[in-house]
Amino acid sequence: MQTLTPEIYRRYRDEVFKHSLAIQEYDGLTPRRALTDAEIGARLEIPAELVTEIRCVLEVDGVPLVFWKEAESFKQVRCLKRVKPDD
Amino acid sequence: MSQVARDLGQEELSPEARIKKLAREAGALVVGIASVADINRFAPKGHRPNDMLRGARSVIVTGGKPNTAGAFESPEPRLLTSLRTYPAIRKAIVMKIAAHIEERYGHPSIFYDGGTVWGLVPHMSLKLAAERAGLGTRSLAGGVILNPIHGLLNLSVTITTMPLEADAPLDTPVCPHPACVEIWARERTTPCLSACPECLEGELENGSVKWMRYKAYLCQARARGQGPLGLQKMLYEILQEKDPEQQKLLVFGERFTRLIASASFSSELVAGCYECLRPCPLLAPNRRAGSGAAKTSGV
Repeated sequence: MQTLTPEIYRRYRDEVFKHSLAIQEYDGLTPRRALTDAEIGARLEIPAELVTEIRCVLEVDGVPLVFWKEAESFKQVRCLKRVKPDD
Repeated sequence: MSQVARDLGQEELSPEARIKKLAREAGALVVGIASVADINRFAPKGHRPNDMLRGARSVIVTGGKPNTAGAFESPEPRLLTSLRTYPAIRKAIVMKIAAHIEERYGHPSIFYDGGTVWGLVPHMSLKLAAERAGLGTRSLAGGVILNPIHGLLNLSVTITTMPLEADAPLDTPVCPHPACVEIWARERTTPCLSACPECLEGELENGSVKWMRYKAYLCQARARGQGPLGLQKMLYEILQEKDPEQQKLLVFGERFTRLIASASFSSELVAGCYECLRPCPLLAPNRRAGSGAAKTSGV
């Protein structure tokens, strides 16, 4: 399998992101189908395995660390807002 | 079928009825059957049931309540995910169904509960299978399946080569709830959209969902912060830290300690976020302990 290099990652990550399940669009309640890794690979003319590797890196790399860290406080704030305090 | 057998309650159940009875006895709240041919009209090549089991003809979909009613009322969000109920038994239920079909009917069967294989992309869509088996319909909250009686379902499936009579998808969308249609008319938002405007977008029109967008890449960062991806993300931050003293604080700190504990003991490895669904009107009766909805079993 072709090794994923920083250059390949930078070159293809936006296209992989655009066609993957990262953002899921619906007409009404009917999903518009995203492309599989094999279909993205065929479109970009790169092996499907390389698309998978790019996508998997993106799944962790694509969102700033601060958003991951703030997830708990987001949930905590919403949880406390929803649940009535005992008194 | 003889009258005598019927009168004595010894009537032979159809394979479909027997499988559904077994699923409910094993702990499923709802169970439905979809045909692989029908699922394949929507699923892409590589993510179809017969990509997992050669010759697959039917998919039995089971669902249950993801949490206890009490977990939804806890002020501690981590308990809502660590106290998940159906996820603890869902694999055993579909495993029992697979064993039953193989032993009684001789048809090869496998089971699946949504584990990912390539990053976050699953072998097959459990949402699609549940939808085609008539267990519920998609919702504004990231397209998750909502059941008209039980609300949010946690899902698992048995895939088999046995041809079974399929159930029909529901005729009427469960989402939006009438209360949400009223809220939309007043405020141009719904409880789920306002709960998580980062992950969810959408619009209602004439009492139906006109369009919606689910930013899964943001949702997974928010929902899986305590899972393996959260561990990777923090490990990378630690490796990038140039100050050894600061690096020590990150490694020994509460967050990284919890991530390591999760990886070591699976204590919280199943991360999650329910904030868009917590205010959903469809979940309200489901959350009330002892309510009729909570006691109802099977679809």
